[in-house]
Amino acid sequence: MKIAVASGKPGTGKTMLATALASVGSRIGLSACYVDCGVEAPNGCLLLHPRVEVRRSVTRRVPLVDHALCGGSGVCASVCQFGGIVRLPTQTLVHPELCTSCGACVAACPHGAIREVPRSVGSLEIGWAGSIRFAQGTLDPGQARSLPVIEAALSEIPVDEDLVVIDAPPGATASMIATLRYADLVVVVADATLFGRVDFGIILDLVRRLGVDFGVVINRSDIGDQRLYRLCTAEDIPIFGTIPYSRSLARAYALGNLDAISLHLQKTIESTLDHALSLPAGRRP
Amino acid sequence: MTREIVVVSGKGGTGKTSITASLAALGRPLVLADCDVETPDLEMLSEPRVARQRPFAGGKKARVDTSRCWACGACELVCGSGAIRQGPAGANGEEAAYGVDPVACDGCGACVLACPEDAIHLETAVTGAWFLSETRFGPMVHARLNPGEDDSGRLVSIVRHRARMVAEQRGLSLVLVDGAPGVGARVLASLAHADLALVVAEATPSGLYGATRVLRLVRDMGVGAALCVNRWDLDPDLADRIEADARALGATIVTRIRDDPSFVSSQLRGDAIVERARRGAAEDIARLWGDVRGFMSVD
Repeated sequence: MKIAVASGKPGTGKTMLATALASVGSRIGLSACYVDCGVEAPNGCLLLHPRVEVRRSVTRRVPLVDHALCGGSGVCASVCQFGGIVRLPTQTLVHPELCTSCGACVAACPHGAIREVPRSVGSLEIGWAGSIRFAQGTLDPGQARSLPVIEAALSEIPVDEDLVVIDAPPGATASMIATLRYADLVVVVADATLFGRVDFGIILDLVRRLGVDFGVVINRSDIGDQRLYRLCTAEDIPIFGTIPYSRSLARAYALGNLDAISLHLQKTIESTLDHALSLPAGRRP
Repeated sequence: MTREIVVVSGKGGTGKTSITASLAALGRPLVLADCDVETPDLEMLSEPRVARQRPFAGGKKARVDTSRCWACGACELVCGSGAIRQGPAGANGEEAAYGVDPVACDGCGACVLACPEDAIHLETAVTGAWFLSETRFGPMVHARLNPGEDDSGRLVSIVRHRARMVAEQRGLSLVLVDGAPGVGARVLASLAHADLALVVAEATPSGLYGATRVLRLVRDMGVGAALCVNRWDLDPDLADRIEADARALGATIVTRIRDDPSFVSSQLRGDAIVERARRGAAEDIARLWGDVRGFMSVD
């Protein structure tokens, strides 16, 4: 089963829950895999302390102009929708960071002067955290699109794993949707603050539109108000757990002590795994 | 001269928006800009009354003219987003035309070029909106990007440009920007004309990592940086380390903020913490504002 842990607002405790899920799953005998798709700030490694075995760069195809063949027509610049290629009076200039690798310029060039070359947009680390298989994508700073790095990380997931935990990027971007499409179950982590509740609403719309099975974990449940809780009960949204604020939990997180975290979250993790295992077989490839 | 302070944090959830609201309360009147266009939370603390609203034509979407499509499939082959697919076959088994999923389409136009029948066109699509509002802190420019749209950099640039224009029109000397989260291109867009990047880091390992990543980016852009550790008493040793690393990356260290439950209670009331409290974290933020003013030499 593939469980994506997501949140609208960052900093709700998503990575803490995701790593603890993988850790407990592995401890009860499931073959477990943790994939960090929070590529702008991948943090799961700080709790899982993986031994990285393979590190490779993630590339995308970007145009390279052969200036000897370029006839200066500027057709490439006119078909590019992203300003990724510009025709100047004397040369054709590529802005690779704006390119989406769509290939329109290559197809459009009347002189066959453009070909595509790989360019690094991030990196991928693969290894083991004890018996948990570990994969993490890291976006190069300043890149416009994180999707290629996320797709590279997701492609590392072995097909025969019992439990795959996907740590999704926060927010509601296209990359976030890509990770949710991949999951059988989405666990939305929200806190009981005002920001937490409003951002939860954004994610709620998304998961409903995607039609994927989902439930909620309310973190720091006692330091906000009851409105998020009431919203979930009123709309029959399963609550997998409520985690009250605890200084010792915050401290365990600060120290990167995953065992202590797992102990704190035990009930939440059990009910999440129970729910995931109760999904109809067709939903669990 | 208009000065621009941009509050950022490599990792989200560090208190960036709550601190921005407090600085706005201390520094008013000023122009507020919310560059976190995916989850624009600053408006919950500043209660903007929208005076002007504009759609954001953020991209284009392909559209198939079904009367011309004879289902050759060339478009589906070139689409890198998996956004173009054939519809279900008709009742008599005739082949259906192709159609576009607007959420998945990123408007690159590769299908337009590939279509031998000239049946596909790009249409401008509204992917969000931006607003000019009035708040108790001064005018505010903010925006909203529709869920699932990825290219928020341009919308962030619009918000920032507008905020500067408003500051000049109204003779306000300070623009305070709630920056975009993360380290991607939208952060570059929110920092493009900053006089100071105020990096908010939390005293956790992920806070350290996030702060270091964004501080490198700020340094590479040639923007002056100040670092503030929030919730420093979660792990005082780590707070020291974050400050030491930040100093090594060229940042000025400003007053730390303690972990204080009144952040949450004032957020639920829709207030900035300094508007009600004088002690605790509110006191720290007041000193932080003094540090920032000294750094910027604004009055």
